[in-house]
Amino acid sequence: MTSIFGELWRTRELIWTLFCRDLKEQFRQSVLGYIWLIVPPLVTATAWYLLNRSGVMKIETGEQPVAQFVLVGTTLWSGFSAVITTPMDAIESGKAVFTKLDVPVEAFILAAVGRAGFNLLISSIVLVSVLLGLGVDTKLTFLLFPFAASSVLAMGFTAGMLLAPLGALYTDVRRGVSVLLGLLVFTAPVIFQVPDAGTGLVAIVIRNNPLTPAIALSRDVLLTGSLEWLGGTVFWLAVSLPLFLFSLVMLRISKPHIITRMGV
Amino acid sequence: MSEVLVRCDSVGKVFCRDLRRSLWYGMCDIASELSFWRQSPAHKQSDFRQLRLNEFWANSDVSFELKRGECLGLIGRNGAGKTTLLRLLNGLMKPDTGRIELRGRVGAMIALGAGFSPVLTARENVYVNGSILGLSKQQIDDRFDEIIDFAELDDFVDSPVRTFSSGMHVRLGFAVAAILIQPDVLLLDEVLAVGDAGFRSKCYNAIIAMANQAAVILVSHSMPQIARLSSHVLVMSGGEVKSSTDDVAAGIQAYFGEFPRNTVSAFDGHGAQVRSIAFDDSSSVSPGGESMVSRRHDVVIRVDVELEEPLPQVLFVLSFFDAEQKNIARTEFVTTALPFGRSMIRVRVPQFPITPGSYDVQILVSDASDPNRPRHLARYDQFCQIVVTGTVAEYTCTCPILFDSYQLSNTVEKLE
Repeated sequence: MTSIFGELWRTRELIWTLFCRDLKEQFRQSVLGYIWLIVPPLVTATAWYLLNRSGVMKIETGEQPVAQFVLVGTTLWSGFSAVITTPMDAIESGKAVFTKLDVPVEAFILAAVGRAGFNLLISSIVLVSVLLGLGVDTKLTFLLFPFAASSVLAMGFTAGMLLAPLGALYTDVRRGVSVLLGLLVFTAPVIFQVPDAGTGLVAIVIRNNPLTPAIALSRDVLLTGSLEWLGGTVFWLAVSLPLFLFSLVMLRISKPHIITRMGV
Repeated sequence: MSEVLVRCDSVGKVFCRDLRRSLWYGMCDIASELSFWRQSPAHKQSDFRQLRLNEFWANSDVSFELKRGECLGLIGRNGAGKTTLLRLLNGLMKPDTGRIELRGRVGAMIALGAGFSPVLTARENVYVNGSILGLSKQQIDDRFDEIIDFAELDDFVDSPVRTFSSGMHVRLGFAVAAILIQPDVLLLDEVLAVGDAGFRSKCYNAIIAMANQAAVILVSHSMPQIARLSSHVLVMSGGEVKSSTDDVAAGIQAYFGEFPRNTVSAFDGHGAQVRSIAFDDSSSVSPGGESMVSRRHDVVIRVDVELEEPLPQVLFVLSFFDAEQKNIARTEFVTTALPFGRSMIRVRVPQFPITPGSYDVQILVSDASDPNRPRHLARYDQFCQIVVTGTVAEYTCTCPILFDSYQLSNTVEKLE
């Protein structure tokens, strides 16, 4: 374990370099560049807002205004969906390098996760500006938003890391996750509220979903100032930590096997 | 300067022929190692391993030792397990049996330009690549100009790499690796010389400079390169070590022996038939055989030929073809009158000039009654093979003919 962290520390410069490379590479062939980070969450939020206002689709959001509600939810969800497949994608795209050179795979994954985090940061900044524009009276609790949003990412990252070794061998995992994400979005309070006391299957699933507290907390600290879900968030984070450490060990052990099976 | 840097002890590696099954085995291996992790962190490698369905030994029982300053030439046909061994040494995969011990920093010049991003500039890619090779930004800063100088890409430092030709690409990759890594153990896979002729000499010198400080393991199909650099040769075949020797010339000979004998192909055959041919004192070879010849010896060639009619003079042409089927040498002789039936013709070649290697011999027999218009009697495209042996220095020669020259005097001429 110490050797894993020791190596991560030694490769911090590599992680940074790779992160910068990915960032530069992403928009080198584009005119609008970093604006592309802002456009998707804006478009999604607008779409939901229009749908709801025209009455085609009614979303139950309690007293909170719909646009803000959905905007926060989708922003976080896009961050989560990106980060859960990141470890697998990073292994796949870095294949050419680490099937030939002895480099830490973790560095490639962390750099990619860093980029996912960076993208979330940008869209969060957009989010907050939009919210301010929409006239939300921000509470001081919004200072907790980075923590709550990072918790969402951390859980997604842990899940992605646990899947990574298997995903590097079988493409089924990557495909399955993409399909499941479409389903999972309804098991977390992304576009609707946490049901208070429903007895339906969905209600039970939502309330016990490890992601629920973190997503709800992120939204609450921005919109209502309630800290109701703080405890749940911290609990699930605490559960993720050992799982994450385990995933690091697992990745380390799997690496030579994965490379053996990947071939050149 | 002579500590052992690499020690391989009966190393073996198993691969699987079937992809699906291979993935499944991979999963099983990961699972079993995870469950053993707590009990035995060192995860003992056993010396014996049962093969599962569809598995085969890609490397088996490979052992050698290498000291600093030495170079191991790894040769063998495609699929003999050279690259697998290199990847095991590089720590990418774990051997299934045996042990590998490495001391010091391992540097590999294998994936030149791996991780180059096509849209980024040469400058940006040098930093990324250097970083992947394990260097700090400061270290790359210090040697950046040297890298660009070496790659001769001064005008293109800030151009995206995807506009580079493949030659420029590989030059940049070579320069980054050659300038930045200072390994104790150097692994080279067919990257001795890249780029155009001018650049190759530079590559070669850069490799030599690195090799002097390191234990080198070199994979190459170019026997002159192997002969020039190696102090030891490991010939691999089907994953096993076929020959391991300090006698580089003998090792290379063993490699040439790996190739299957070409079958003879004859045309015509009306009028004459070559029964056998013999070089020097070695026993005569019939079509499809192989004979040994010592370079620079006076060689007597004996041709056993059978004619269907007596002829006043017969023209023999012997042509020698190298592995790439390039005609590299030829000798011809016209006989005196030959009778009906079998005759033995003897000719002498002074100082056999062909450099060591394995060559196909083509024989052409013609009726030279009219010397200007020889009539073909028989033609054998690959009658037999000759294996030319020589000194190690002669193996380094890349051209087929090497002749001697001697210094006569040593006068300095002053130009007015």
